[in-house]
Amino acid sequence: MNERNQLAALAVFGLLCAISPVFLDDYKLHIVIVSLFYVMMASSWNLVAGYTGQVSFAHAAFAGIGAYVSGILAVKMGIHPWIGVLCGTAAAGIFGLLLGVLCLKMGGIYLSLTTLGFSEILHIVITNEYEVTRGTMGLQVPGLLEVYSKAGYLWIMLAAAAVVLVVVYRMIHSRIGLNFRAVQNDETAAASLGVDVVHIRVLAFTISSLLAGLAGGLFGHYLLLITPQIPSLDQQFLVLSMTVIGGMGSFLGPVIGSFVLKILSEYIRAYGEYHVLAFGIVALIMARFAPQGIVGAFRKRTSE
Amino acid sequence: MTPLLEATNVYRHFGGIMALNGVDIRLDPGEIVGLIGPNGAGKTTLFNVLAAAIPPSSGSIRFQDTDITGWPSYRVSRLGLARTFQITRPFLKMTCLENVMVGLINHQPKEALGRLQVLAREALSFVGLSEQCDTPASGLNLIQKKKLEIARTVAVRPKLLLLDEVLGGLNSQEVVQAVSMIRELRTNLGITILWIEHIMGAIMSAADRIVVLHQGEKLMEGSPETVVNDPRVIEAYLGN
Repeated sequence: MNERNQLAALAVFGLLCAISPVFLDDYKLHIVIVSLFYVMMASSWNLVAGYTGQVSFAHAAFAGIGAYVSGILAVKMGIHPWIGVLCGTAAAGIFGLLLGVLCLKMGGIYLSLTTLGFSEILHIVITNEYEVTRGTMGLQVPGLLEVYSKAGYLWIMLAAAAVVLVVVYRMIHSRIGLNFRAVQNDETAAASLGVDVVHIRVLAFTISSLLAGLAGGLFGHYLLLITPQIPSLDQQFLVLSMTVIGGMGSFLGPVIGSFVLKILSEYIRAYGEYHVLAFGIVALIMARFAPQGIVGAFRKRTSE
Repeated sequence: MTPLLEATNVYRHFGGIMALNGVDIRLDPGEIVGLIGPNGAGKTTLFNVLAAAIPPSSGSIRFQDTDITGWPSYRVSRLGLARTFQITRPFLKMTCLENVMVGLINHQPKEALGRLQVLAREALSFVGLSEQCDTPASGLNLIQKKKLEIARTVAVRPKLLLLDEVLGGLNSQEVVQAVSMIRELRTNLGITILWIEHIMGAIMSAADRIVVLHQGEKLMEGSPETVVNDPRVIEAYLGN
């Protein structure tokens, strides 16, 4: 399947999502909305992990920053959620930039460890700052819409996911994207050809954090209740699995992975804690038989 | 004439090992200079220091009128100092064209992409890889990878090119072709070349001047004839 067909398939799928309120009930619409949240998360994480080779564990944390900044602004200061979401997005971007400048010079495993630490710290702070965040009880926040409607939220999330995908697509198909891939392939060679490796990494990390903040902010105002579950490592690893199982470093992979895993998780939810085991088995099977993810396996079949 | 590159009193140690022990080297515009010496003499370390892949422990490096000591390698590259790697480092998951484009987009950020692609194709055809433009670099054989390495650096029209053993693994006929290509780099593109090579016949025929490194120090320098006949050089290679 060439690039044009892929985009056409994606557009058709988007259209299908847009008209899905006609034929899906509220429960299924909820699944689509949550999947769209994961599409934003996985696609923006893919920008850093798949295209520049930097494995960050703070992506869910940045979504949490987006959600909590927007939520707290709305609850404590009465700021309208739409403006709050923009502030949350900006806050996530600024945190991303600061964390990026701090640790991206080191890169590699050090970035992973630092972001893991950052993620845990943020989780602990949110859980314990009860006065501000209401801790594990969760922060009740106003919705984005005057009148609650699943279809309305679906369209908002769909539009936002489209924005995220357009940003990611344009980046990876520009000069910046070429630099991203050069850095991922071989940093030393890239630097010898004039690529400012640290600058490129910080750029990817900041944009990616910004998009996670947007996803988190919107998602919080959809759920109407923000809990420390959003910036948790569970979420982080779910986003990671979606990207890897869908196909890391490919444009469509994270989109496919998000929907497949979200729908799958609904089916195996009945088994309670065993759903983690089920995910583990899926990940193992993928690693053994399709290390390039669903997209990679598909590509291999069609090229044979 | 102001030198293109002038490294003065360069030291570089790794822990207790002195890899470079006060080396001076000077290159004039338009020269082809050979850098030879037995294994472990510090040739590649000197390259890494000159191309700013690693900083010198002490000493200074000037490129044209700029002191580039301690600069990051991407800035040195943008100034016009390019290098190839002894063990080739292509971007394996990218096509040959994309490999060459990486350098171009960073050296000419304001130029239109279409124009840069023309330049990239020119560079690939110069080294004889026009057929492989859309092949991923992982699909190339060793010689093609070496050619790609040269295409990447030549595309950005550097003022100085550091070649690190580009002839290794080539048969005698290929060596002749490669040497004539390297000569063309100077005559047609005006690129100054500092060249590490173990194939003596090739480097002696192409170089204007030879610098001999031995145990991290400059043993001597001079024309190819004086160098090969110098007893110190023979001793460094073969012992007493």
